[in-house]
Amino acid sequence: MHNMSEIKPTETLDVFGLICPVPVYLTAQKIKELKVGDILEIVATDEGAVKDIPVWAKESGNKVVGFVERNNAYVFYVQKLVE
Amino acid sequence: MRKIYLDHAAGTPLDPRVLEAMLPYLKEDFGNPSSLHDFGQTAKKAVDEARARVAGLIGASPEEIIFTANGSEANNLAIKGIVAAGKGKHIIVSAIEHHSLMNAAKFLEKSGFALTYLSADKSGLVNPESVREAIRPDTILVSIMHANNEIGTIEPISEIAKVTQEKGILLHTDAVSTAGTIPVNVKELGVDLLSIAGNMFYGPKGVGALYVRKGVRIIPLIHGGIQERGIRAGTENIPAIVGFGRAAEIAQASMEEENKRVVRLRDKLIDGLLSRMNNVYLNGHRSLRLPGNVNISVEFIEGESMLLFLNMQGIYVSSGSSCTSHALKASHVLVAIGVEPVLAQGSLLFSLGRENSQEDMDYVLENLPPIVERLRQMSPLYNKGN
Repeated sequence: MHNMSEIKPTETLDVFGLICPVPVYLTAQKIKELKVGDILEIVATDEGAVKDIPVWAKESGNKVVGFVERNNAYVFYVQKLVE
Repeated sequence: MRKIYLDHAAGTPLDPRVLEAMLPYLKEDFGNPSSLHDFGQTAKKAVDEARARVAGLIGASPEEIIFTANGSEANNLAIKGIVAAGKGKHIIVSAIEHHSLMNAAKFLEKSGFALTYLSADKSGLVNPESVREAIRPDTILVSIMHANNEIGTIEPISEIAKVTQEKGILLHTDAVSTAGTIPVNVKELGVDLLSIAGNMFYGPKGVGALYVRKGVRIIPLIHGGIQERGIRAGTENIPAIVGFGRAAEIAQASMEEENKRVVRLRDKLIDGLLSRMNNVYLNGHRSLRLPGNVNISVEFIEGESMLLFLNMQGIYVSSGSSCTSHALKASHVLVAIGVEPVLAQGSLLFSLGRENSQEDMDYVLENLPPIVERLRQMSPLYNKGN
């Protein structure tokens, strides 16, 4: 994993307060808009998202490159690897 | 008998072009936008198009529009959704807000939030400086309506936004009475959140929207599936949303001409009412006023009796007194701007619309003064020696 302070996300998806299945659904939608190599920062509070996002990333061929807990939220950094 | 509808503040008739746009979605195009098949995708396309039109009406981007069931829901989502997302315990609203915002605020107050209710002056204006004075370190939201639905006064939202932006506080405005009626541009107003409703500008009932500026975090009131980006779950009211979009498009195109026309009718009505009767007062600001709003207080008599007599003559208006007829409470708006409660009870609200004509105004001016005279003769408050 990268050092958190080095990661520069291309875009941020704020799903604070939104509950499963919404965070993963919106992540999947959002990643379509990015280019391969871009990093998406996802800010979530739902416990389900903590499990769902890494699973989704693996299944879709993308990669979780960072994770941190910040300001009462879970923050994921996912890099788009496939179109 | 002539029928003259003058209660557009309560609701407007459906524009025939809006009905036409809605019909396919009430009949053969019944798909759910969340379905992946063609039926669903047809519905999704219709919602996307409507969203763009509604966004266009207020100068927003489509992704900043959340569809709701009505203006009341948009107001509730704004105030409750923001406080749930933020830190801080203090909210500022005006004392003349619509019940849907006021009661949501009071509910939050009971739940432990601190509320400041800013007063308005005699003409219903809220002073931006009073907003500045009320802001505290723990303030999270200011909500001041764009125009008051009862007295028609248009508030200085851009000036208030300068204050809230300077202090880094979110600003919401209830634009249910203005969007689709007078120009509303979220960037010019400087707001972060804004409520609108479809039935106010010749669209259908059962649909409204909350504008949420990109980057503003809001917690849902209605949890569930993925509709409205998870912020407002529930299968969308497609026919109403489509109608909303078409009504927005029509309103935008006709607004300038229509307002010039209605303002002329409004002003003739105001001048006529004030000159033909004694002890009659206009409520709200004379010029910073909704184009179709005429709210008057008629001394010595009661609003509902005027309303019923007017109804018999085919003139349909609203009484200025509150709908809580059990308590016979005067309008909180009129009381807040300093109208004596007894006088407030004698209020009438005429709200003009697209179908109204000069003949309609003339008819009102012929019929109301005799009604007032008759009621005054019967009134124990009326001193003939006055």
